[in-house]
Parts: sequence; C-alpha cells; structure tokens
Amino acid sequence: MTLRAIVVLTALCAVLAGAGRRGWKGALAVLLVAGTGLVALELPPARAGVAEGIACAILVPLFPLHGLYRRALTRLPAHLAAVVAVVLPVVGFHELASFAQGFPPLMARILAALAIAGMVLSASRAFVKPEPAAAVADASLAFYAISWWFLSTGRAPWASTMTFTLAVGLATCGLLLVQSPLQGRTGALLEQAPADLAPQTPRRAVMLWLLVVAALGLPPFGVYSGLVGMLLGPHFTWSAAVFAVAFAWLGASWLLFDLGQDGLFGSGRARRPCDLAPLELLSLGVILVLLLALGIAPSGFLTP
Amino acid sequence: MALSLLVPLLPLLSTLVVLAGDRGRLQQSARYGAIPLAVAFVGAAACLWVVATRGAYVVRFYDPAAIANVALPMGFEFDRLSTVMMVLISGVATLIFHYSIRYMYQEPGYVRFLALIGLTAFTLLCMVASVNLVMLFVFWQILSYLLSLLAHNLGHSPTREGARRTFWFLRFGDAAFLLGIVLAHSLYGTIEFSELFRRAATHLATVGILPGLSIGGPTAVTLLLLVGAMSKSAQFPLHVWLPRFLYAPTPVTALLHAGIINAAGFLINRLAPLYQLSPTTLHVAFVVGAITTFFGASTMLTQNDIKNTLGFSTIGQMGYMVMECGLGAFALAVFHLIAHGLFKASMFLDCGNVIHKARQEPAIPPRAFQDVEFHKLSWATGFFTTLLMPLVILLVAHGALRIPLLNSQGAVIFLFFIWVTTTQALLTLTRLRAVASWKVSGAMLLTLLVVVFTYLFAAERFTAFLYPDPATVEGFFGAAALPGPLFDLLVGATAVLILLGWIYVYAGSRGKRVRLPGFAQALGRQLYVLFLDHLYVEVCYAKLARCCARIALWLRPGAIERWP
Repeated sequence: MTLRAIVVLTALCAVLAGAGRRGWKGALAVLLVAGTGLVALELPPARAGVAEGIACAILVPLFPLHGLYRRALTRLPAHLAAVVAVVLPVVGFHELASFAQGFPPLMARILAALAIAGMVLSASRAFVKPEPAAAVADASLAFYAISWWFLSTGRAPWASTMTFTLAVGLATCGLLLVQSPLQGRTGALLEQAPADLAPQTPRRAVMLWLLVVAALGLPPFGVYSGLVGMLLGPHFTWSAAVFAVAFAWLGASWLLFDLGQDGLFGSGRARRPCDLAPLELLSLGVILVLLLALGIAPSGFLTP
Repeated sequence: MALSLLVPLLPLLSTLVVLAGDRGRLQQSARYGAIPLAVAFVGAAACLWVVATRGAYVVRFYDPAAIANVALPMGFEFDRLSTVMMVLISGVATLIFHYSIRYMYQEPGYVRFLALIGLTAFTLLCMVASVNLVMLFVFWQILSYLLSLLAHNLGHSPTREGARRTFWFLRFGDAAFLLGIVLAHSLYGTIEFSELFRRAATHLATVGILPGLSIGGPTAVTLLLLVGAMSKSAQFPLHVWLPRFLYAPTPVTALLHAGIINAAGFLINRLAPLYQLSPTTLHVAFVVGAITTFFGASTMLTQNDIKNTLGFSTIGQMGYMVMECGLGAFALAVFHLIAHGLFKASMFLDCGNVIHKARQEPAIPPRAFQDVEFHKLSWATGFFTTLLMPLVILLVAHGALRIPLLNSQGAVIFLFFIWVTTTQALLTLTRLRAVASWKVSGAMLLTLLVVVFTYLFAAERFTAFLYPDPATVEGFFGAAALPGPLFDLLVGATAVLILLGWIYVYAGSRGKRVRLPGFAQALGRQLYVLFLDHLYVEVCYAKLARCCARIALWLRPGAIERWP
C-alpha cells in the first residue's frame, strides 16, 4: 500500500511538472516509474516479482535504467526534483529489502556486474563538466550503484546500506534545494558558473559548503558513516570489485567538489545574488541535522 | 591525562573566536584567536615531557571490543611520536597564525582564512594523535579537503585551478588509503594499531592479484597506504598538485610545507611495525623516494621564481624523507621532517621580504665567477674536505659513537646523506669573496664538524628517544636491507657519481671549465629543458584526462569537455 500511495503521488507530481516545457522528460521518467510500480502491484505474484524488480531498479537507479532518474533530477523543477531524489530511492530500497535476501546466485552476479558498470559510467562523468544538477545526479548515481553492489553481493549489513542510501538521498535533495533559490532568482545563472558568491551570499555559502562536505563522504555525516559501515562490516570480504567502489567514490567526490567550488569561488559574477531566506535556511538545516544524525548514530540504528 | 585532550581541541577554539569575533575589529579578534593556539603549543610540550618521563597513555571514547559506530571510533594516543608531532604542529601553526594576522589583513577572505588555519591545526593534531586506522583516515581526508579550501584566493582563477588539482590528487590518495584500511580490516579483523600489528605478525594472510599470483597481506596493505602517503607528501608522480598550490597565500604555503606535507613520514612511522613486515614495500618506498629526490632537486635548479624553487626543493626533501623510511631509518625521517618543516616555514615566511628587497636592487646581472679572483686557500680547503669527509665520518661514527656501519646498510647510506649535504654547505662557503680566506676555511671546518655531529649525534639520540629499544631499530634496518651485491653496486656507482660531480663543480667554481664531449653537452641541454618543464608529467596527465573525458562523452554525451 505504501508503494502504491507513493507511486500515485509521484505520478501526480510528475503530471503537474510535465505541464512545463522543460520538465516533460523528467515527468515522463517519473511516470514510467509510477506505471511500472502500479503494474507490479496489479500483476499476479509470479510475474509481479519481475515487474517489481524493474520498478526497484528505476527507483534506486541501476544501470541501464538509471537514465530515468538522471532525467528526473535534471528536467523536473528543482523542488520536485529534490523530493524525487530522496523519496524514490528510499522507497525503492525499502521494497528491495523484502526480496534482496533471496537473490539467486546468477541474478546476484548479474546485478553486481550492472552495479559495477553503473559505478564506472557515473564516476567517469567527473572527467567532463556536467551542469550542476546533472553533476549532482551523476554523483548520486555512482553512490546508488555502490548500494546495489553491496545489496546484490550481500557483503554489508542491511542497516549500513540503508544508512548510506538514505544519506545519499538526503544529500542529493539538499544540494538540489540549495541551488534552486539562486536559479529561481537569477535564471540560468548556474550554467554560467556563478562566482565569488561566498562573500555575497554567506548563508548559502555555508549551507552549500556543509552539504558538499556531507555528500563528498566526509565525516561526521551519514554518507561517510554508511560507506565505512558497509566496507568495515562483519560480512565484508575483499574482492577486486572494491576498486570499482573506490573509483565510484572518487569520481563522485571530484564531481561534487567541482560543484561546490563553482558555487563558491566560480569565475563569473552574479548580477543580483540573493541569499537564502530564513525558511530555506531552516529546511536545509533540517537536512543537515538528519545527515549528521545518520552519521553519528550507532551502526545498527536502522536495523529492522 | 584528560587535560591532554585540550591540546588537539584548543585550535578549534581559535576558529570559533575568529568566527564569532566583531567584524568591525577583525585584527583584535584574530589576536585573541592566537591565544588558544599558543596554549595548545605549551600543552603539547607538557604532554611530551609527561610521555618522556612517565610513558605513553591512551584516551578512548569507545570500547574496542564492541564499537557502536564503526565509522567514528574516537580516541587519542599520546606517545613519543604523536607528542613530538603535536609540538611541531602546534608551534608552527601558532607562528603562522600570528604572522597571518597582519600579513592577510584586509584580504577579502581574512576571517575564512584564519578560521581555516585553526581548523587545519585541529585536524592535524587529531590526526597525529589518532588511536586507530579509521580515526586516522577520518582526519586524513578532512585535511585533504581543508587544504584545497585554504588554497582558494577569491577572484584569482589560477588559485582555483590549483585548489581543484590539489583536491583531485589528494582524494586519489584518500581512496588508496581507504582501500588499505578496508583490506587490513578484511584480513586481520581489527582497526586498532597494536592489535593490527600483532595479528599481521602472527597471521599469514595473502591477497590474490591474478589467478595463481598472490602477495602477502602486509605488503598489499602497506602498498595501498603508501599510495595515500605519496599523494599527501607529493611523491613522484603524484606531486603535480604542489607546484600549483604555490599560488595560495604565503602563510598557507608555509603551513603546508612545515606541517602537512610531512604526512608520509608520520604515517610510515605510525605503522612502522606493519611496514617492517613488508621489505617489498620498503624497497618500493626507497625507489619512489629516490626518484622524487632526484626529480625535485633537479627541477628546483631550473626554476626561475623563488616560490617554485622552494616548492620543488620541498618535493626533493620529501623524497629524501620517504627514501629514509625505505631504508628503515624511520626515526631519522621524523627528525628530518621536523628540521625541514622549521627551516622551510621560515624560508616561506621570509620570501616576501626577499622579493621586496630584490625589486629594490638595480637590475644588473651579478658578475660571473670566472671574472672574480678566487681564494686558493678557501678552494683547497673545500675541495679536500669534501673528498676526505667520508673517511672522517666513518672514523667518528666507528670510534666515537660506535655505530656499526659495516653491518648496517641504512647507516652507510646515511653517511652519503651527510656527505652530500655538508659538501653543499662547503661549496657555498667557497664562493665567498669578500671575507678573508682563512676565515672562510675556518668556517668550512666548523660547518663540517657541526653538520656531521648534528647528523650523527642528534639523529642517534633522537632515534633512541623515539624507539628506545635498539632491537626495534635493528629490525627496521634489517627489513629494509637490499640484496648485498645490489647494495654494493649502488654504493659504488653513487660514490663515483658524487665524486665526479664535485670535481666538476669545484673546477667550475675555480673558473675552470671541464671539457665535456658534444653528446654530453647536448644531453645536458635537453635535460635542462626537460626539468624546466617538469618532465612533462603534467602534460601526460592532461592527455590522460582528455582521453578519459572523450570516453565519458562517448558513453554519455551532453557535457562540456573539461580539458579542451
């Protein structure tokens, strides 16, 4: 029921967003997710598993279906994209947990291979310069691919993987939100590398800095704790694929650092920069507190 | 003992004082901010005294048997190594903070900059006092990020590019470091230093690289950690961030060169028992250090601005330090990093004055040495002292200090270090013209005595202080020993090269030209251009990055190419 309700809600949001010219691709992506989820709920149990698996692979983006998530984040209006960024992966991961324990070995291997492909593909985007929302999307895709790898190989405690996924969702949401007011007030400024905004918009600068720190995987925030919890968990065994995990982490860090650097110390000049309003500051503060709480909570905090 | 915790925490107070200070009276709040740092320095010195007299102690905020949050196991270890490093870091940070109060005044990022210096000092102090691998990694990676933030100079685009490059390379090292920790935990099931060393020594673990090919667990772990150390200490080929970092404000550069870039020396010393288990890694460290030394020193000679010259000098010195570790002379590396840190910090803080004075001098090129009459006595003293020095060192070491040079490879190579560095000082003195030659000759002999005794005596005492058990030191040297014939070949070839080099240099300083064959002269010119362009390492990286960018764009179009 939870899945059904959320799927319907996101579908509704998507239809609303689709009214805009730019947002139709993002809306289509979310609609696809919603449609697959609804089909999964209506199918008989034998076939529902496959459809639900596909829905989960779209909700918690997995290669080759991750393009839809990326499109949703880059095409939807910023506030809706921020909601999508945190709600869809968390719901998808929650649904995944029910049948992740029972992946057949072949399926687990295929999923692990797809996850590695996703990691490499997303992390390699660090070598080009995507626009800010796309950079956030690419970085989170690399992180979600890490979640998928751990989930499919069963090398990490569920609680750590959940912490990591939830923290990535929150950090992505925060990064999209912190940019949206500026984008809303100054048009396509972010695409032209805004600059020297740190002294002109101090509240935004501090928030952006802290969110980048959290999203980069630096302590004491949840992304770091989740990743280290997975890597140093009791079920973990060494494998060459860990190098792909490290590459994904590295590529995502590079992408996010560049995003923060452009946002704080970029080269152009904003014409009329405007700092965050108190309510915007509050909402971002809540996200940071949640990320901090995930980071310092005991390792088994999210164990069901 | 609980008071010891104030030492790493006080710099954080400096940051808070600066951030909370009155924006109308920035200098005053900055001065107040320097006080906690100075108190931290006094506290660190007190900790060193306590540790030296009563022994090491640990303050843990978790139970090693049941860690609640494996990602943040906080604890502080106060032993001889950590307290020595704490004294150095807090001392240098205090001086640099104080220097910056006036130097950076009215800069756009004044508050940010001073706050970040406090935060960096806090991070460094926590890093050196870490009680386990994960905590060390926590502060290690925070340091990478802070370093790139400190490099930013508002409105200056080369600084921004330098900061980005710094983060990219340091993060690469962080990734290798993380893999090292994960592998260590996977093989030995612990993150605690003492337990890790015990299990690694008793448990024979291997890691498969390819089907049918595997390496020892300690070797795999230490190699990964060494890559992390290489990036932080600017070892070849991961050094390329350092020259660009020189665009950062001078006090930041001083802090970097005095306290941060020494991280490799600290890391290898902290994990010395683990490195001792892997002769392969020590040999790799020796080779990497030797290449970096050669590259850094050679490139330094071709640079034409003071900051770049000092930067490449640091790269060379860091190579030297890693090479010492590769020879098993771990304590000596710490001695070296302290001496180098203090020396290089003073050089950087003074380089603004040098530039200022140089601009005031008339732009007449100095006269060439050939035109100047040289003093025969000065020249002869320098030349013969240089040639006879190894014998003097050998006699002093054997007779006075009873160092078993013939049984210890590290000590023999250490002799080479003394030889080269002392002769450098002597050569500089040879060039003195305005002083009476007997005074110069006396200064040379005095320099010889001071340098040789400082090296031999102080380093010997410092080694005994850091590692009181002589068997431990012997174990390090034994692990790092190279195969006998290879070592003999290296010693012989290096000795011949040094002698030829000094004969050439002394002849040049006397106004004589040693005739070189045409191919050697052409080679010299090519090498000069190569080193002037930093061996084109940066160009290679740019090409590699461009190649990766093209693949990334081919896989998923729709972005700007970063390296057009």
